[in-house]
Amino acid sequence: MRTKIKELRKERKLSQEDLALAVGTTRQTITSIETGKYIASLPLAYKISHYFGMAIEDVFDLSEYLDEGGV
Amino acid sequence: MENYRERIKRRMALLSAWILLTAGLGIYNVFCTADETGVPEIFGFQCGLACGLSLCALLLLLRYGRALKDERGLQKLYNQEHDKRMKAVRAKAGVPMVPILSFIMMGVGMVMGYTNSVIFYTLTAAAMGQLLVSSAAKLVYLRRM
Repeated sequence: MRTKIKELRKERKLSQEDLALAVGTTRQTITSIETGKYIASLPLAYKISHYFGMAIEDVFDLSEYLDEGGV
Repeated sequence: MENYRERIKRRMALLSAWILLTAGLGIYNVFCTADETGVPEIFGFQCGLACGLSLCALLLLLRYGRALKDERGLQKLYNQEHDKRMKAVRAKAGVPMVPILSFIMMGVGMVMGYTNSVIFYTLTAAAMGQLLVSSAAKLVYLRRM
């Protein structure tokens, strides 16, 4: 899944570790989400989006999943 | 976080007790027992296992001690233990059931080994194999996820 986490982090000059600590996860998980290897759980996606003050769909690109489900 | 700090302190006390127990048994074995103690290979394995576990306990103790020193370290440790991705990786690698079963197999092997050493070798090898496969699976899923 594509996300805008990396861009948002760079804009705010945040390290992966700072973001991980703020949203209650590990740096490795943030790396995995950024590279698309791991899909964040709904609570984690909410926490990350809330941290950046945005909606989930603005941070996480859900289009491929919405197309698959025929929505 | 205060509850977690208390839990870490309890874990540290248990790990310290284990290290002291192993050291005490080691000293007792060196100075107070006869040279011939049961089946030598099983006794050697027991000593090696106890020393290995003590070393792991010592490393964990150092890690916990460092984490307790500052709030950020404690938060990182908490996140590491409660991370959903890590939980998924552990579940795919069969943790905690595979290590528990392996230790039960090793324990049974050590006891049964006093009557038949083939059982000891078989169960120990199977337990080691299980642990190796589980560790390999964990490494693979850590890279994939």
